[in-house]
Amino acid sequence: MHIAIWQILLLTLFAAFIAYDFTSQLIIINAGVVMTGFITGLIMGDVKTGLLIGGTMQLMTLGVGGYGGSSVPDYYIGTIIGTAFAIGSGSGLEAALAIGIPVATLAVQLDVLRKMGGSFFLHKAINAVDNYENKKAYRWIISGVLASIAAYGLPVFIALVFGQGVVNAFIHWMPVWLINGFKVAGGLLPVVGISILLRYMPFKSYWFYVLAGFFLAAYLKVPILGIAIVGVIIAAISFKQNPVNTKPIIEGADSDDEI
Amino acid sequence: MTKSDIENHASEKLSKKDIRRVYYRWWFQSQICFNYETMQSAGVVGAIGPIIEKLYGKNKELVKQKLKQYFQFFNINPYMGNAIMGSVVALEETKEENATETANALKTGLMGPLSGIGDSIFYVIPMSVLGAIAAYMAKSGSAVGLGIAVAFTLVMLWVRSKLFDIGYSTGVNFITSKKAVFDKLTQSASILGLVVIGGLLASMVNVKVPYIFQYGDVKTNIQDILDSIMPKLLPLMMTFFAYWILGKKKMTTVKLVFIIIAIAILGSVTGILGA
Repeated sequence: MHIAIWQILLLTLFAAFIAYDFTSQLIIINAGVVMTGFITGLIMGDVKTGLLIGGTMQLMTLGVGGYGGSSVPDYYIGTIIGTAFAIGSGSGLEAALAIGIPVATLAVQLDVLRKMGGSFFLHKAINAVDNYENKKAYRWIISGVLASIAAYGLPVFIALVFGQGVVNAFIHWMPVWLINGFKVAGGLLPVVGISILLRYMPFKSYWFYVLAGFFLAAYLKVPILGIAIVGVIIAAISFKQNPVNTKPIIEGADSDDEI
Repeated sequence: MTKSDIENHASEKLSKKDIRRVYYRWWFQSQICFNYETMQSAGVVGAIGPIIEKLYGKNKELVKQKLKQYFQFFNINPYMGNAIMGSVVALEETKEENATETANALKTGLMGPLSGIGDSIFYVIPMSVLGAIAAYMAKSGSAVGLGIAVAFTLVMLWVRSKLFDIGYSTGVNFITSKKAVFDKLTQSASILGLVVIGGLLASMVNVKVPYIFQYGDVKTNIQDILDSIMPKLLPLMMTFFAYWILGKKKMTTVKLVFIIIAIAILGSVTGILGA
């Protein structure tokens, strides 16, 4: 396992930053998991593998991840840990998924810690206002970022420092059937993100748009950017033609399904 | 506190720069101190506080009273929050006696409807479409899709600031009065999303049946049969399976992930499924 201390420190900082970024919808929120794989790959010295892992993990959460307050696996942290260990041990996507996905499901709890930490800073800020120390209150509010740093950076640091032995043993133990299983899983897991999104979107009433995209990709082999262009065209036609007082189709559609 | 009191203690007017700073502060600290109790309240105080101080600077008691009021529960899509923050600044600037009460009523009344619009137009659909494009390209080793996503986010920074300006100069009612347009925009955006999902399931879900069925001397390649019915038939069926099972009671995202992994491992061990 080759993860240098400077790499661990950079990854820790990055984990803290991404935790703050994705909750605040700040800079790299769109395609955030791919970005996480990319940056982790950059730090670990293998951008291509980072992109591959980030891309696979991103497809498990397409926009609805983290939405609506229900618990979804934390693919950001899963991607950092999975990518770092996979590249560090010289293994590939299969090992990254085998490590990253369980980590992602455990990391759900970190969000709870962060929000509880937020309460501490909130009360400090309110107290400061009570004492007419407004400047201090603003400082306490900004210090709320420490809750993200502690809740996300610290576990990533600990996992990368102390997890190396265990992960090394695990990767060496990984039998062929498990590696092959995760190879298949890598191709199959995108159905998770896709089906969550279909549940969220008005799939039942507008299934034919999904069919159109499927046809373009399956039969005509159009790359996804081309499909998005066709999607924009159909969306624009619909925007121009439909009467303005249409019922919103996202709000309420299939929303009773707890995801 | 009477109205004349407030006027007596009123100090300065707000400069353009002061107002702009509220936008920047809201941008980076709307959820920096996010918590279960009041969610984004600290973000509101952090963004608006310095304005209150400037407007009512000499009257410490009033500043405190107003800041405490802004520590009220608030939770909104951070993009749409700009429109509300703009309106709140405009309200406070009037120095009306009930400005803060009005602002809080506005915040509470609009956080639901505006989040509904904002979450789909600014969050779910862009994230899905851009995430899908970036992931698609990333899997073949290209960071171009990632570049597209970042470029889009930069454009959205401009949209955010426009929303703030609308909230400040035209009032947030402008947005609610345009609800029909936003609904249509939401609908069109979901059409884009659905088309991309269709393409994504055909191009990104990769699973094959390597199993060769042998009966006497006749060997039958199952995958060839499936392909002759329809290309990508198995990915389509797997997606419907996941969609169906997700609709079951007590099914969660986490459970679905592990069910899919279990299917993959079982399928791979038995030789039915292959990458």
